[in-house]
Amino acid sequence: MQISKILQTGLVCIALSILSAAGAQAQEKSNTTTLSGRITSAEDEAVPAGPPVAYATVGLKGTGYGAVCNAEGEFSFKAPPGSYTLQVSYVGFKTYEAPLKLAAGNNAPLKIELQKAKMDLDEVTIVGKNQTQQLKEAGFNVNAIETKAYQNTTANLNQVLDQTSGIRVRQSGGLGSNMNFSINGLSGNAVKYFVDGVPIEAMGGVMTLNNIPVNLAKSIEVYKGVVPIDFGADAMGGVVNVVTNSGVRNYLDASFGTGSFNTQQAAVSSQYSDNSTGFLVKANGFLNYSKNNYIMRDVEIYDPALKKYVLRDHRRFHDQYFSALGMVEAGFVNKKWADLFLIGGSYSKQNNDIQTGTTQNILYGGAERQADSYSVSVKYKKDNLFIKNLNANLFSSFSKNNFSIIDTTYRQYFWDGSYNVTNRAEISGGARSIRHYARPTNTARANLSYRLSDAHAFSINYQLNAFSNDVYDELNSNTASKDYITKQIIGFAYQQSLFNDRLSNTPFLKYYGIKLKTSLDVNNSYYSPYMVGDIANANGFQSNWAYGIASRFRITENTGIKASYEYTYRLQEPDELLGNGYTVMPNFDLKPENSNNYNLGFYLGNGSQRHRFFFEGSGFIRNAKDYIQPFFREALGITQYQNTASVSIKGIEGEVRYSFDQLLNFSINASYQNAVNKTVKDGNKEITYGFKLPNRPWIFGNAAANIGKNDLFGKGTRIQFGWSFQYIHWFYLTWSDFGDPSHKSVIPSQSIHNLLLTYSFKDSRYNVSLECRNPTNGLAYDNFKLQKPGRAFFLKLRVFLTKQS
Amino acid sequence: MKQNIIKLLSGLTFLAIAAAFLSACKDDNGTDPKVDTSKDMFWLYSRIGEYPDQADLIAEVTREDIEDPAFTFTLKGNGAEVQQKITYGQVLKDGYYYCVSKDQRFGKYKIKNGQLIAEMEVPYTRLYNSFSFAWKNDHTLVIFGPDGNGDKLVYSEINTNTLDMKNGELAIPAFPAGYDRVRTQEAVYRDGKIFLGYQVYNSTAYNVQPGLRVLVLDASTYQAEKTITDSRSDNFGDGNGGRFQSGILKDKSGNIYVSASPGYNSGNTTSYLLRINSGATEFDPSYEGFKSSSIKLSGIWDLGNGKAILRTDDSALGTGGSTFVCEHNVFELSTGKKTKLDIPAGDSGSQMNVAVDQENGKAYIMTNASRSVNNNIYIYSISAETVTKGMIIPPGYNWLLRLDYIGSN
Repeated sequence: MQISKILQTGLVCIALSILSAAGAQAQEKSNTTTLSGRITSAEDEAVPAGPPVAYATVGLKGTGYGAVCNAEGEFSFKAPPGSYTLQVSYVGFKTYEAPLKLAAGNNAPLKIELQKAKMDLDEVTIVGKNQTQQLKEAGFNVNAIETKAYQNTTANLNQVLDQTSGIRVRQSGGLGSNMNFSINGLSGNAVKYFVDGVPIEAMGGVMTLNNIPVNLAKSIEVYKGVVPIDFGADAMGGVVNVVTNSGVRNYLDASFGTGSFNTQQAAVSSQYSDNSTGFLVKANGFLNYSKNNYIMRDVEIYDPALKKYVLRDHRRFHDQYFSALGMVEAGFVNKKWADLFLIGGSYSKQNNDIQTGTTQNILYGGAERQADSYSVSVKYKKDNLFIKNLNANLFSSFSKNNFSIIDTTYRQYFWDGSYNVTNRAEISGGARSIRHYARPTNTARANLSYRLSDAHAFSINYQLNAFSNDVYDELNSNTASKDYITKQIIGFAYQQSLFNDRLSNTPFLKYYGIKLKTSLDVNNSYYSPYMVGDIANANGFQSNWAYGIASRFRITENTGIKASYEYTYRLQEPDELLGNGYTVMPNFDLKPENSNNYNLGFYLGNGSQRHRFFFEGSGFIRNAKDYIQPFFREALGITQYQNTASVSIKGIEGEVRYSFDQLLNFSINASYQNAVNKTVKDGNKEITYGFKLPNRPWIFGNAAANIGKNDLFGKGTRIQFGWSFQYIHWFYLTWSDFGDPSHKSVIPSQSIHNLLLTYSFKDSRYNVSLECRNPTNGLAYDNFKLQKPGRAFFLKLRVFLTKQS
Repeated sequence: MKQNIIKLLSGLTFLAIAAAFLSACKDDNGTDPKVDTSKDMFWLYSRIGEYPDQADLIAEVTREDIEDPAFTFTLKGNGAEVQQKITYGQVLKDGYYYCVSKDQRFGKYKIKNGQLIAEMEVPYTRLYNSFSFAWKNDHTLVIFGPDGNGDKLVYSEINTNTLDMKNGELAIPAFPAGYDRVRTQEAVYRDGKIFLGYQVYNSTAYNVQPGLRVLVLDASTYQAEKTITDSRSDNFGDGNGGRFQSGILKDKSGNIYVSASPGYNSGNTTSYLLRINSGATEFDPSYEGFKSSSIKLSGIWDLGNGKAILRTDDSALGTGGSTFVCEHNVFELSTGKKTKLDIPAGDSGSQMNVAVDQENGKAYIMTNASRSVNNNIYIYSISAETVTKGMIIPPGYNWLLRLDYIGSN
């Protein structure tokens, strides 16, 4: 209720701001002359004239005359003729000042190059404004995290994201363990993942946020609830987009880390380009290994002498994890026929032991998961294709992802590593199985955008995702199934920029088409009593329309209000619609999940070149319906997916950052989410209607501080000490109001610290880091109270070599 | 001006966040209706929420409350969370639940003061559940089921005072052509013998071998003395062991009454109540206490006076296609006379919903007939043969899974 009011108040503010801006525009004086020009960066010599500096501030010092550049670095404003000092400033660049005589009549357009200010690797937590601001200008509610601050840590991307507002990554254990990513309370299949705008599945199924080393990413964007059409995704909760280095610098970034629990991690990211021919080759790879043999505290183990279970500490003994990926892309940039043309391929592999079930009392000692995948892809980008301002971005790929669950051990394991021989497989409780899943996937994307003028632009995005789901059991040929599913998502967007770009609106429309083809024998008498819906839908086509708008109003140069809305879908997965031909029955009438998502936020920044302050706050509402959930018919021993639950999530979140020169920076964020059950069945409310959903963190926050000194141990050196902290408030495992409060299962509050000491020399070419995670050895849990690692130490060596081509 | 806007906005936002946090941090003040466990006690097992937020709770309810038509049952501040440890289908005796737990143990549990208490537990994986069981005596429980491969039947004989076990395998007739799996149904002990129903099926097409099969075991050696077969049905009692309903009744004379209803994917359509007479090891061919091809016999509870509560499921009574729309009847075992009780028909989800206290002459019938209006517990007086309304159960429970009479706890 309060958040609804906040949202309403925000919308009124935006309306008032629009009126005031319109009024100001009408009062422009007539005795002025126009000054225009373009601001570029001098940082990258490979690009003639350098890339534009979007949204730099241009002004006549000591006067109120000035403007903010557009996305192309262009500016134009009016001022009376006279002598002035022209000042151009932008975060990350040295402020430019030069005398300027403004004559009456026409003045020639100016071309100004800004020199990049020296930045430290660990200086900025959030992407510098030249990237975030572009994201914000469209009004979408987005977290954009620059990974520089983490480059010397052994963190994976999920650990980086876990430290930002509104996001919870729930990982069940150590390196490579299962994770569930939640954006503003929506999680699971409602969140989709991309790398440079390409679905992560297209890169091979092994690549996930819990194994991509931070060094492979330049930044990470998280769109919350309202998603631009460019992603072509049925992402009801939001999108995570990993942005890799896209410049044409030559560089090599190689790192190796080692530490507790026999953990080793290596990563290489490199690029070579030849300016004269435009040839470009990129090679990336990583390798992760860990035994994950951390100590489990106070786990239950049976003592035959005492004839009862007792609590003891034991190391994990069957949780080894290995993953590796190699990826190469080669092609050309800055050619007449293409701004970028790359052909790429990747191969990845993963093996991991499975130590526990959903609770730590359920132990496995032989079960494994194995996976491998490969992919080939083509990327093409061209601006001003055929006509000026028509830009094209095309992508196509084929990937094949295979994974297997091996459950062949007839043993019951205990935490001390001992076991009893049993008469059933340890995971399924049934017969031995080696279950294989193969998912060949074709992905294609075409994105066209056309800028009619500075104020109006249009874009269209088409995404095709076609895959088959091929499942069989090596030891039981009766359980095979093969289904095909094709998803086509088309998006249309119109970008409007008014009042000198103070107000931007992006309304959009999305079309979702889904086509199915099942191998299921619908005439089999086994299925027929339990099939739900029209069998014709088994091989049918479904379509849905979604829509939304994202708006932003800039109050001052660094202050603005954002509001966005989307009615959105999460499409059905093949096994949800068609079952698995074995234990999951089809439901041909299953509808996609849908949600009305609202965001309202504001941001403000302030400061000089030495002091910088930034604040961001937002509120959100998610009204999700027709949640697809498995319904287990225990009497029959089968499962069927149904559109059952509805949920309303309201929340607020905020983040503050401050930095002083290159000596100190500090950030803190906090999130509050209230997810309430709104499920109504056949017109009747569930007994839990209106109650807070269980087993979800609802208050959490992070803080981080870094202090560092340049040139302390010689020129080009830097030493830095960093501290970060995460707090997750306690939450109930089950429904909060039900059950005896003195014995309810609670996931306790968790306070986890991390410490990092980094020494860099030769201008950050060489870096040595010592990291201590969880130094207080505090207990950390996942959602089912599975224990996560305690205190751990890591050493990381990193070399970063770069050279302009 | 700009500074003022910044200060104002940041101040307001911090206030909003702080207010939200403070309100959120307040501890929940749920009502705490502590139950007086010195009184006669019932355990009410319910399931709420949808997966993955489904939760199972067992609440303690006193006889005084359960018989009070003005008392409204609530789980607010009341009930033990059990879903991480056990699932319904547990064996009840003398105030304890016995079952194979979800974390691979066999345990002896009770509910006390809003908590599931494990009195004793031992590691256990020989059987996946304890749905098929028989009591050899007050301290010896035998549980049956298939092994992991599903092609053998095994058992565990458990001393419930110590949880010491004796394990073994049962000899069953060879699978006929086209069948490769076996599972168990209900079991009952009588005079040194255990009658164990079992079913043979095909692991590909899931069709079951037609007919009902009962192993007659020597309860000392676990050797099968004979196999009873009958072509009228596929199920010996509840088809899933005793998990969902009580499907077998042994009267004081030693007659065994068996609900034999159409099973899952069996092809049969008729429900019967069959009888194995005292001392016999065959069904009495002259006895069909209940027979219907339209109404399914789903449960039978002994009233101790030659009568039983008979639960019948009639999908024609319901709306929305539910096949579990139940009625309750008083049934004379010898004559087959059936008298419908004045209890609302309909079922929005209930299983083992009858608890009988023979000593005090009452049967307690829990209904979950409606999702929109209040449901009740109904109390049937065995001597007066009357039904009175008891405790109110509000609508909205996904499942009311069990009602168990415990006595003094």
